[in-house]
Amino acid sequence: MGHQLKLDIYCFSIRVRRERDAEHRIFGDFFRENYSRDDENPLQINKEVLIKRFIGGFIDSFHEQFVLNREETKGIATGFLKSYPSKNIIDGLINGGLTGIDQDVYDRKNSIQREDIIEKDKITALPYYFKIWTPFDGTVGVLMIQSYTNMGVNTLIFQQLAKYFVDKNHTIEKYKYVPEDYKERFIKKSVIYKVSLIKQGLSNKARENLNPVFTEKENLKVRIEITGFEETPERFWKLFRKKKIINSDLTALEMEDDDDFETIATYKDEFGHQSSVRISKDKNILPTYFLDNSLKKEGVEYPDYNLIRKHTNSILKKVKKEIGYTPEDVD
Amino acid sequence: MWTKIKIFEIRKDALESLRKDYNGRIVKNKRIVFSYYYMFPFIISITFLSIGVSINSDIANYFITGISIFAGLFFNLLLVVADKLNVRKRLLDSDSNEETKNYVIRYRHFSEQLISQISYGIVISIGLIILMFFTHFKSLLPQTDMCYVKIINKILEYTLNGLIFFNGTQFIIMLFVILSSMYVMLLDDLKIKNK
Repeated sequence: MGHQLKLDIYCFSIRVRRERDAEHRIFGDFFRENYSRDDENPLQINKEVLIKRFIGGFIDSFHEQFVLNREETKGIATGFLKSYPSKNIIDGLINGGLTGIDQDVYDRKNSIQREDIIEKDKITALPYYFKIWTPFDGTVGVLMIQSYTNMGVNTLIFQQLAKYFVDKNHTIEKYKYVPEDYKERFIKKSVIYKVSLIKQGLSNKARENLNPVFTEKENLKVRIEITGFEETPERFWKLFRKKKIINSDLTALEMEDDDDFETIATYKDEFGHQSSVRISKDKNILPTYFLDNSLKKEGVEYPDYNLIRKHTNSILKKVKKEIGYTPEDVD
Repeated sequence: MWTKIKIFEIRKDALESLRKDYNGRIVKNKRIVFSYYYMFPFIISITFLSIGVSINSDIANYFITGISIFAGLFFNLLLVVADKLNVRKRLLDSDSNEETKNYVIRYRHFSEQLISQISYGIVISIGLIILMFFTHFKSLLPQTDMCYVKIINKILEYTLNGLIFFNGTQFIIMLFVILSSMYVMLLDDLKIKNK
């Protein structure tokens, strides 16, 4: 079994900070503006040099230390970074893991004898692969961060990157992305097994009717969960939304019309991997992207840099096409 | 059919190009193209016919001259577009960057679209010239007081004028499309020269 590798894909854009209605910047302009020196012509400077300076600055932002989250429970540091300027790609490995707590080390076969202690100012680090694609002629970039089933430092990596852009007076905006073919594959192999109806903003009267203890609780949230069924997405959607989502009388909860509440359907695939979709938002499903075990380094649970790089390059190729960056092939 | 004549292929490519962006993807709905490429000329044609506008042989001569000049220019333009694409292709000899590759591919899509539009512009011009030429045969129609002959003459006249207005409007639309593409092409030329 072992640990499974996951991949989070984000599309991101940057814009100048504190500027109202600032447009998303073309990455090439950002690089030329921020990484060319005063005595250099920004239009003639080599792209490779600009990217090298960008990476240098990013590495320096760690100050050869582990950067910790606010709670000081996790930390990351740069492993190694590599750039592919002609492809606008920077990738590498980030080391990161748990800290801030004393951990005892045992042999798995002996729960009595403690072998070692990992003190709270030490970090138990794992390598995390990441890839950044910043097209010099585009405003939407792609960020990919690998994690493990039960461990991830995505937020920290993103925060560090965001902080780096803030230092250059830019803010970063991101949204999660899953390639279409993966979504289709997930849906094909999945069943819908849970529907949740979420109601917020109940009136005073409705809250009181529910129970007087809730009368004053303005942020009350009611969640109705329907489980105990499994249905293929095709059949489920065919039957589910014939007229109304729920035909039962839910007027007491002010849930008469479909627009009064939020409906979330939960999918699970053959391995039990789950993903939810808000029905109100065009049924856009964003399942977790699991990577194949063949991308692991032989004998360990970490990803092999070359294998994961090649694999994520093929994913990036699809994403670039789907977000409308790559033109259609010509004969 | 004789495969050397590709009029229908040119027409198909040109109409498809109206729905595509420079990435080569179809982005416009068929209905939108239909409405401005067929419905609008049809409305213009009906309006002109209903207010009694007709093309006589003198006016037709002027139009034939004007359209012939455009058709000649179009032939010239075809060569210019192909030549400009070759200039861009040469960029790849010294630059292997992703954005340059994509730029050349986009330019190739743009050129293909423009070439199909110009070629179709030439086809429409030839069609219009032939239609206008038919106005000279008006005097050959039998002139009698017989009612049905009069009706047939009128129908023929209306059909010919209707077709001229319809094709003429399509020609003007295509002319604007080509002009807009030329505008993009020339501005892009300036950018390339600045690099």
